[in-house]
Amino acid sequence: MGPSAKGGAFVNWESILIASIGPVLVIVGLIYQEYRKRKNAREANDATLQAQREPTWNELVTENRNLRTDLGDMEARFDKKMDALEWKMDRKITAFENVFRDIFNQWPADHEPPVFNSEDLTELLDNNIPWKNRVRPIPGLA
Amino acid sequence: MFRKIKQWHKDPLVIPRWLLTVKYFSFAILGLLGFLGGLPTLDLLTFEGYTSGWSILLIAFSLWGAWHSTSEAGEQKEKWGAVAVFALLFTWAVAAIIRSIAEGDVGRISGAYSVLVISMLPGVRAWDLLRKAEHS
Repeated sequence: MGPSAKGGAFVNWESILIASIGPVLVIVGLIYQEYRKRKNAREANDATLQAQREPTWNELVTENRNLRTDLGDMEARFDKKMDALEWKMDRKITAFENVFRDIFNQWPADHEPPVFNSEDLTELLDNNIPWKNRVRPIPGLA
Repeated sequence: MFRKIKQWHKDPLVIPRWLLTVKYFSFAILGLLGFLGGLPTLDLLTFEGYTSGWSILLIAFSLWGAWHSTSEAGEQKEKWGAVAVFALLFTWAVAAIIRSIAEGDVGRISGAYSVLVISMLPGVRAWDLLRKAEHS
């Protein structure tokens, strides 16, 4: 190990080995640099693609506005249906109430069943009332 | 605990830029001293003229690093200065370790180790800059 006793530019393999450490490290740095360049570019590309996949603020706002419109229409339809249902229920309850009132007002009726308004019976047709055919004669029509 | 270690591992340390420039100038002075006075370890273990070349390269790359370390825009150029200075110092450190082992002189190990530690200064900077490499 060490320079020649004769002096001069004597080069042995050990000195070459030590002298080559620097260039080797620089080459390793170059390789690592290329590796990081590709890795960083890949990661940046992935991040860009991910950002493109996610909706933008304007898209979110438009979607929200459309959803609100759809929900508003749906609510209006349900309100309309509920109103119709309530109206039908009111009519049925009123008819039922009239029938009961007729029964109690005409009780006792000399062993005759009571008579009812035809509108009330029409309203309650699906309730299968046994005396549904006993209709009060409408004044003037008889 | 693991979270603390992870935080410690990733927690960045911000230092003023002038320290970076002063560091490169210090390595340039080291190269100048080596050129003027020689470095016994490298003189002993390498061929003739290597130490002079080593010193000149250290001065050149240190000044290159110092010049480009003055602003963030020069980091991509400073990077190769840091890599070269690290490579030169690491060569010196390895040579010093080999000498201390070959001569069986335990007292030299601390000196060799101190060179290794000093080489970490440009080494860490080079590592950081290489990690931030971008396609131009």
